Amino acid sequence: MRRLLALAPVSALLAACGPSYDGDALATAVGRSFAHLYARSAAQDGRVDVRADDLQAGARCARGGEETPDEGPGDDWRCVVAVSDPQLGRRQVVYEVVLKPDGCFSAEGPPEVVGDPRVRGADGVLRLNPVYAFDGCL
Amino acid sequence: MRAVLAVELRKLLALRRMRAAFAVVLVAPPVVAAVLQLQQGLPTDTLYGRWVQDLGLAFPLVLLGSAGVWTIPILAGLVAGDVLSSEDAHGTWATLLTRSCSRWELFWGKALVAAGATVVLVLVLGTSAIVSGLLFVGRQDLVGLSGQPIAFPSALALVALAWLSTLPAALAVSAGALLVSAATRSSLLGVGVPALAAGGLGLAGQLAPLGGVRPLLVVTGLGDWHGLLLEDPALGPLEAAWAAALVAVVVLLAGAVLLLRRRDWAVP
Repeated sequence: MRRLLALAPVSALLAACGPSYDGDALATAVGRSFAHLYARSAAQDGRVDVRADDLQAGARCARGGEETPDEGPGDDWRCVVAVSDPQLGRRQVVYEVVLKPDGCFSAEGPPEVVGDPRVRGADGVLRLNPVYAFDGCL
Repeated sequence: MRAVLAVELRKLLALRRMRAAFAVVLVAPPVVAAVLQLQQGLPTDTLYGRWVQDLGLAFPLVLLGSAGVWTIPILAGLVAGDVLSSEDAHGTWATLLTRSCSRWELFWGKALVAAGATVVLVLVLGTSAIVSGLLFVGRQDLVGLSGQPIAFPSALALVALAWLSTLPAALAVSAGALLVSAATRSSLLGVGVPALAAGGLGLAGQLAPLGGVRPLLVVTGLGDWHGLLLEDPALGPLEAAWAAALVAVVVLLAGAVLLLRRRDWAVP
């Protein structure tokens, strides 16, 4: 009995640490990152009053195949993210997402929608395009 | 004990290999940082790789992300891997044990010097990386791993903390090297085995979803710093990794002590 009691915190620790990455967790993280980076991108374009919290960002993530359950690491995730831009209205982008086993992801957008990897800001300086592709963690 | 520390430290600093290691951890970061600024492509397969030309603090994190798996275990093994076995190689145990300090004073002195040198090497590497990033790119705010902006002073503190967070795992590798060195009496194995084991486990942690087993691999703690940079910092994995590293240090050192205790000191 005592041995069992000793094991309890260990198993609790294991259960607590065992990350279960599902579509919702990924969508929350990708949506949040996108909102922040969209605001950053807008600021680079001279629209400094666009704030991440005002964008009503949302995302849905699913894995590629019909049979593949929407959970776990993989390189076939797709996330549809949307924001409400105060000037440009509702905007939606589909990102191809790689979710790594360590709980970090890498999202890449379609170039015809998100633009070039580096873009010129309102001040004429060439900078990284924050929404072209981005990394983050859950 | 103090005499042991002083002697071991002097021996360590006289090693060409150690001097080379110090030179490398000091000089490599600025060289790598300079190359990354000049080249066209970005190391996008590493966290913060995309930001490396735009944000000064991205570079130390890129280096931590890539150096974590291999460099830190190699540095840890390099010192600890032969503090015991070099006495075998030189056949100096017998002489050493006739001195007026106990076997255990010797052991703990050697272990402390190995641990201290590992910590110093990792800290020099981290500091050099941070300074290189600030020097070559600048003091920009950082972008967190939830995309959130992190203002410069706190970003600098977080990057430093991320580097510090790898120390428990580095010390665990160091203790492992001490054990291998005691068991095999071979410096080559003492340096090589822990580095390979740590690298292999670290790679496994990057490639496979290990679930609850993850913190038990100890070296996965080398990569758990990302929790620090989230909008709602997640310290759980980091704390689990630190606890696992602490347990590993105790177990591995106990193993080394047992081996030395059972050893037949009669000289061949």
